[in-house]
Amino acid sequence: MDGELDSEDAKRIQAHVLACKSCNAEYQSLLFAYNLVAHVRLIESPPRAWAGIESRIRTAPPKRGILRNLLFPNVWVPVGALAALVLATGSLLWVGSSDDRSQSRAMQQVLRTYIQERDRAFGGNVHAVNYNPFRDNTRRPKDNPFKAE
Amino acid sequence: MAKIMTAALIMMSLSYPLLLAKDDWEKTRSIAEAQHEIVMLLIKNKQYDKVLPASKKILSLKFPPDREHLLVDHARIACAALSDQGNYTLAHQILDEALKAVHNKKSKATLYKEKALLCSKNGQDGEAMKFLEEAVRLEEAP
Repeated sequence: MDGELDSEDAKRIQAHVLACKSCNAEYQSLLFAYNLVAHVRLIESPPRAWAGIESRIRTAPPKRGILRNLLFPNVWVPVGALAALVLATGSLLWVGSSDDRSQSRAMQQVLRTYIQERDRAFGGNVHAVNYNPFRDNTRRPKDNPFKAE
Repeated sequence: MAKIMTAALIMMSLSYPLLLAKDDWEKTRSIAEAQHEIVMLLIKNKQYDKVLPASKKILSLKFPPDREHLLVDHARIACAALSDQGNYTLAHQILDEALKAVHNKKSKATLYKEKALLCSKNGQDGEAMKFLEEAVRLEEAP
């Protein structure tokens, strides 16, 4: 294509390209691009354009104003991180407290049942009855020892 | 006649330990009955420093295993009165002494439930749960 090969190599490659379909396709594609580039007209950039680009590269980015920094500080990243942390902790605590609540409810239910059983055993509310567990209720009252039996 | 007399003597000798045991129990019961009244009066009068020693007199009595539940009842009644007055510490102490005095698993389980109830009333749900678990463990044990 560029005339860089000697005649022997050029003939050998030309013969291969004519015989090999895939190499021929590749050659045609390259030839098309080669012709395309050959027809493109190059435009020289003006010398001042480079000077402008260089000055923009070397100049520091404009500073944020003091007022802007005060009113809108660039703290959104830590604020966002903190908010995410608070959210995660809150949800963990909520899940934990939910478990605690259900456990506490179950415990209260067991204790309520126990109180009912206890009150039944004492024949009423244990707080209200004047009950002596050691009293022998089978004995006859001894209010009057002379009472005729 | 001699045979009848011998039989009567044998029967008397056999029933004597039973009568003696019955007599012993009556004595124990009578002391406990009076002592329980004293404990309840002391609680009513808020003489808390005398409550535990008075209760210990009952809990140190030799109770037969089939009457052990009476000790549990004594502790429960005293605890109910004490918790009404907000003296949870003394109530726990009585229950601890009762736990030492009883040997039956059912009795111990009941006392642990009473401790759980006290803790729950006092806002100690974590402790209450531990005592309830202990009560359940005792009830489930073979």
